[in-house]
Amino acid sequence: MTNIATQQQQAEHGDAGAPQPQGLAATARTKRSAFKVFGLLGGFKVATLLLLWLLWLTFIGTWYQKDFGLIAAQRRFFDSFFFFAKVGPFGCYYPGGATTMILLAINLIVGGLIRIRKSTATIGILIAHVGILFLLASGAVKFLTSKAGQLMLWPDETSSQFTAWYDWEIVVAEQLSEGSWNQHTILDADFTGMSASDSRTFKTSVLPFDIKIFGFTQHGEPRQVGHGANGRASTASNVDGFRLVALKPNKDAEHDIAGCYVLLSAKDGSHNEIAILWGRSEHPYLFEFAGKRYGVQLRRSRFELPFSLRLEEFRMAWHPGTRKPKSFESDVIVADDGGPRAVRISMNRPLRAGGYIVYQSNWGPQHIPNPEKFYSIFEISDNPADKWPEWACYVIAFGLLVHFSMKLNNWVRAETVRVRRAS
Amino acid sequence: MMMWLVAALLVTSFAATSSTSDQELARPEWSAEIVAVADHLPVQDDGRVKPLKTFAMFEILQMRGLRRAKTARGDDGAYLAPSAWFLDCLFYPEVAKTYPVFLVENAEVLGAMGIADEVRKERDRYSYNELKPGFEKLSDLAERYSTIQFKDKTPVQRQVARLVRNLVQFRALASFLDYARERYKVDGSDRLKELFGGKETVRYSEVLRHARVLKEIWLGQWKEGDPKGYPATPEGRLFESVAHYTQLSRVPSFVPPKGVDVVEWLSLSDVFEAQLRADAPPTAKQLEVCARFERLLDARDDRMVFLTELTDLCTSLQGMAEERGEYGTVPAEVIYYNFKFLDWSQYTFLLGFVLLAFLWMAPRNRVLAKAVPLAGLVGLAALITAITFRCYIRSRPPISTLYETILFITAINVGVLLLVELVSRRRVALSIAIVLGVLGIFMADRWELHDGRDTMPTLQAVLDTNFWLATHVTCITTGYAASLMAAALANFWILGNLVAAVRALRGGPKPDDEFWRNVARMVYGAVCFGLLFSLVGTILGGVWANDSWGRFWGWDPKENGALMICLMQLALLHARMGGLIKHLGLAIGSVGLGVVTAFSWWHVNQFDIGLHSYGPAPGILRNLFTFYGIESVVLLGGIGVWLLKPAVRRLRLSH
Repeated sequence: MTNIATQQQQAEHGDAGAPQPQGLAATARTKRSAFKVFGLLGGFKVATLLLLWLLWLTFIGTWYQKDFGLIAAQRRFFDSFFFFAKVGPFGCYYPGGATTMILLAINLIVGGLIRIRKSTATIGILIAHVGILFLLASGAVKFLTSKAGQLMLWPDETSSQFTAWYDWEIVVAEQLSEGSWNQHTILDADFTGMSASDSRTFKTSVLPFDIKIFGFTQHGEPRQVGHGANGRASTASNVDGFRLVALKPNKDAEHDIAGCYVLLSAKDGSHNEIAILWGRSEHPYLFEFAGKRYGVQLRRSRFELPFSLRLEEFRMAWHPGTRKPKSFESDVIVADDGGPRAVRISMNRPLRAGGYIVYQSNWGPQHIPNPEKFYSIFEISDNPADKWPEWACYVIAFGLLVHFSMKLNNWVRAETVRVRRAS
Repeated sequence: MMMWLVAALLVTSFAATSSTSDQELARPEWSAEIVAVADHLPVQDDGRVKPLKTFAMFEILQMRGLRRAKTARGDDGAYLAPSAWFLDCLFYPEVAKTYPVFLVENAEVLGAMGIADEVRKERDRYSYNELKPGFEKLSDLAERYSTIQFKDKTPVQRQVARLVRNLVQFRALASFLDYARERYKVDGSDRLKELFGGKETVRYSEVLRHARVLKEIWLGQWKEGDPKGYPATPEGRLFESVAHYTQLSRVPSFVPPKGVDVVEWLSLSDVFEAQLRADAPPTAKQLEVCARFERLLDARDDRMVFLTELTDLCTSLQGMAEERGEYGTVPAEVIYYNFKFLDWSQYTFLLGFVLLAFLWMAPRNRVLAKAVPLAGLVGLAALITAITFRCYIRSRPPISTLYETILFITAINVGVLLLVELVSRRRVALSIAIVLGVLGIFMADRWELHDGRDTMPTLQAVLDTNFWLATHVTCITTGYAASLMAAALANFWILGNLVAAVRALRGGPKPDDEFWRNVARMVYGAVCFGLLFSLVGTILGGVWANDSWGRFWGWDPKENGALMICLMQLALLHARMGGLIKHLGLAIGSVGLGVVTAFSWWHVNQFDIGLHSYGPAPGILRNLFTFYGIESVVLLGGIGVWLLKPAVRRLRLSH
């Protein structure tokens, strides 16, 4: 009985196309081909292959983290459409996590929703498939639209900005008057993919110079020329006796400090400025062009919040007699259009406001035994699909419960009959 | 830092330790009543209030690698209950120092300590007195290794650190009552005579009562440049002596604090320090604890008086703890360890295993047919009782530590398989239930011995949520259980089929296709059961992560492990639905599922990266690779079944 059902479903999933009478027109052949492709995409074979490939990707991505850290593994295997890998002497591009999941979603829609036999027996599967699709969609929305970063606040400090964990930006500021600056930003995606030997020139009509970025390194530091360095110089450039030295990236990518050279060339070719930009520099590199003052700085990408946060008090408790944190929480004042309000943010109890979610992430200083006061670190993200996984979970759980309950019921019935007969 | 201070104190106190002959070391046995009272003494350790029995048991486990102490090596030694050993440490330290309680795994450690070659064995247990001569060298080594990260340490370096920790801890226990042994000279000056009523010497508790006055005198006499910071006056010397002995009474914390806002219990050292502070003087009850220990010491050879004094002390401490609402679960914890539910569970499963072997040999025996499931049920009942006790003691859902996952997985597997047996009556589920019961409890026991730490620890802030522990953790662990159940059934299917095929080819009976088809259906059922819980558990984990860390999914090793289990289950079910695999493929895939589950459950913890690194399990890689090796052999067996399949089919057709 099971085998027949399997064959039926196999046919419905398009593993074998239905036989057609001879002499059909070209349109019919095209339709048949399309149907075959459609069937193949939604078939069990493709589903199994994709699931196993994703399993393998997850495994190597997990193993890769041991040596290269989470972010490197994530970027190479999970977020990528394709990745390059060598097996023995042969190198090849393989589908990355993004491609695999897109194909899985297509397979799910075609095979698991459109072509699947709709009956009482498959209602649970259908529901579960809808839930999984919703889950994949929530992942896609988060991947494409979400911003995430951190905000560190000392008591009585207020901020309405948070900084990215990993992304960088280069800000060119033009002084309009004393204390007033006009900012132009080069976004992370436009330069952080560059290698040390790449260069890229940015031109804009609003600035009297072009900006050439070169010698970019994901993690490095400027050192005096001639000083022994345990890294390699990202380029041969020597700026005022300093050069940028590339270092081995950290396993925790948030600790990497990017650096690059920037060449600012006047559009009329009259003047050039070269500087080393380093992510840890607290102040911008200042220079003058055509009598105007400018500054350029490499820094973590910053995002504006639709509200401001003020830390009133941070509290933490250890389990008695240990250095194991029992709880930590922050009392904050959230000020938005509705006025200020007091909120407590603690582990597992984030603040949701203005489309953003603020989590209690960490605290400091941790290297001082009994500091006079603590600062609080919040993780902030603006995921529009924030609650979708939870809803997807309910749908999937319900679907699987329905399906497997029916299966269990069938099995119990069959076994009961068999045992009765046997006895 | 504190560890090194104590170590320094230790080194200086070694010189004063005199050798004592075995004859002088005899001491009366502790009666069962005394041990029972001592078991119930509340102490605060590792962030929670627990019975002394638990504290002593895990101390001896850390030191000796077993839950009981022994008075001598070989057959001459008698076993001691944890609390009895603890009482020896406090009241007969000279005797306790002769017990071989320090496990040395590697002779290299002894070499590094400069211990004479004739004493050294590859792996043995040594007494404090045997190791004492090498302590200084050992602590130097430990300090040197302390800069190396744990994961980068060699086994010898880890052993050095562990041994130093154990020796320091033992010495702390053995010195706990040194303050009470000492008689403090108080006739050196008129002021002292006046203060102490002209006595020549007094006990610590009496000094403690006048500690603040003494401090005033000491501060008045103190001038810069005094050696060790104490004035060279009778008062200064008295103060120095008291301060010295006070430092030795830091472990464990016996004294509940006053005021519900204060959560940290006090050691006797803390009581002394509190007495010196005008802002937070100890209560009379707290001060009395020091005096009670003195009286206990005085009565150490009189078991009747000792029992009375110990009962008084216990009643007093219990009362103080109860006032704070912190004594409630202590008796339950004593019962939990006294009744040894897990041991009984193991014994019953083992009995069931033996009976099962007979049942397979005599399948028509009705007594055996009833006794085996009964053994399984009794074992399961004992296991569930243990889990329930743990839930009550911790006020937590069943799983919050790696250790508890083992217990829970075992209970789920045995319970579900017994239910399956109730329906199917083929003795397959029953057999696997009994085997998994034995293996599960054995594994829990080995893990507890290996880890050597309290299995009911306090939880990190992020885990301090009963809702998510009850939902995500329970679901995902049930998923692990089902996957392992599928793997166990698949092992049975492959090995059984292999044996059946070989027997058939050698002229034996043909394989019972219907039987093996039904076993395969059980494998399928276990995979389905696992998928439901793994998938829902994994997503719930993401939802929890979203609430705690701000992201649903972070490709963290533990998350990836859970995802891998789900993907393997989904791949198996889709392959089966699509007709790509049948029974053999499902069995081979399920063995793979077992490997993936072991990887997710234990292996990813070894990476020590990611946000889930709160559950590292150092030192289990060898066992994991052994498991992978065994499963690889079973997979080869699966290939063997596949290769033999045509021959068996031909044989069947020829008949």
